[in-house]
Amino acid sequence: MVTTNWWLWLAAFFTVSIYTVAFADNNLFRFVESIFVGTSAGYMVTANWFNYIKPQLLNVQKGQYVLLIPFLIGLLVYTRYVRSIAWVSRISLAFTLGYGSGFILSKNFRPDFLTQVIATFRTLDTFNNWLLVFGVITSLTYFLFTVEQKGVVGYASKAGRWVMMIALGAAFGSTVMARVSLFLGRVQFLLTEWMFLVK
Amino acid sequence: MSVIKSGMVAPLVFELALCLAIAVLIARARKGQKLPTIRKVAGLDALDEAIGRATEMGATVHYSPGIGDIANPQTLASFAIMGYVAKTCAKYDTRLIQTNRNNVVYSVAEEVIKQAYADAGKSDAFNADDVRFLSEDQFGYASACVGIMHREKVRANILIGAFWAESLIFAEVGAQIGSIQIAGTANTHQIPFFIAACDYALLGEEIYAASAYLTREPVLVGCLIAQDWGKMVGVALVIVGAVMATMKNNSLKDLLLK
Repeated sequence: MVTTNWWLWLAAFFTVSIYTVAFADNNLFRFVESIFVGTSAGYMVTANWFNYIKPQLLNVQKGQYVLLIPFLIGLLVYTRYVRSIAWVSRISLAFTLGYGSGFILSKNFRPDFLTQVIATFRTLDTFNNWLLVFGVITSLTYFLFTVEQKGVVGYASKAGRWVMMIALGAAFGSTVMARVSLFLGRVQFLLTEWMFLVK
Repeated sequence: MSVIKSGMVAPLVFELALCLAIAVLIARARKGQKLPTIRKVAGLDALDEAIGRATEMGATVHYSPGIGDIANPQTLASFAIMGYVAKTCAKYDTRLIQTNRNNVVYSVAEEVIKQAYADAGKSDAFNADDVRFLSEDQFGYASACVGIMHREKVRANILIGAFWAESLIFAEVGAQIGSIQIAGTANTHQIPFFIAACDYALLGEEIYAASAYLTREPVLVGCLIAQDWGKMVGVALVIVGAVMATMKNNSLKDLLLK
């Protein structure tokens, strides 16, 4: 006995079809892939319109004319479709890249560097704290690119590589567990909601 | 009222010091003064090997800059590697398919690749259809990439940038179709998948050193040295900070929180 809800049939069809690529590329996968890519693109266009563009245009209507500036900069991107003035699109790209770099510089330095450094100021009275400080120092040494990797730096760099491999191994295990749980979620859907094999 | 926001004094001082160091080192590089050599990064050396293999097989190179947006430093670092890969592909007349999830990244990628083809003297060989925007949806993008890898005879798969859950999908499919794979990201939870499934993996910071490493341009090498100085300062701060914390002295911590 299986469900009579055709939405669940559709979901089951897509789930099984997507998994067929694990064996080889096939027409079923191509068909489902095209639908998935197309619908996700369509969904994103709609979501962007309703979540970002429309609300801002309404704000312009309410008198926030300053919003027209980013709107016009955004429109410049479309000049790339007119070969003779395609270079104009670079203005908005330059603006975006400049904004991106500046944003990173102002926003990321504290959390990515200073906060991490401060978090390593541990009292060296437990093994865990020693391990943490040792791990941070040796891993940082591994990422020195212009210092010759010999002597103390060489040993620290090798130790840093080991520290990272152990940490990455642990991360691998935990992420694989999460992925297996995602897969089990789909299997559970097929067996319980679609096929009623498991209650 | 303070001119500088509380908590931003230390970042400002560090960033100014770093900028100054970069300026000094660039000036030294421009004067032709000797700069230290960069240590070997196997993953970056392997780019030529991967493209060479695809060329010999008459196959395609696939390049993904990940799914980060334009404000992601990993995406910005990826552009430098992308330019190198595109230039090398152009030089050997090897087809390069570059895929994107973000529309702004797509626009910049197209410019980067077009410029790389021009630099290689092969402007006419640039095919705008091979720089593709696939989908803004994470797994929509991933499934489209899987399709491209299967269908476009991809034999060199280069994945460098910000990757999340789609990393293993890409790397696993690349391995399945027999591609040589070079991958790199600074997202620590994804690096293990790249190490497990790819031929070469760039660990975190290595992707940021790529532009200097690949071009050996003195100005970029100067920047890399300044970054190394920053890391050395970080190591020194950690050692001093830990010792001071053990002695119950929090003055360095308070100073860095200003």
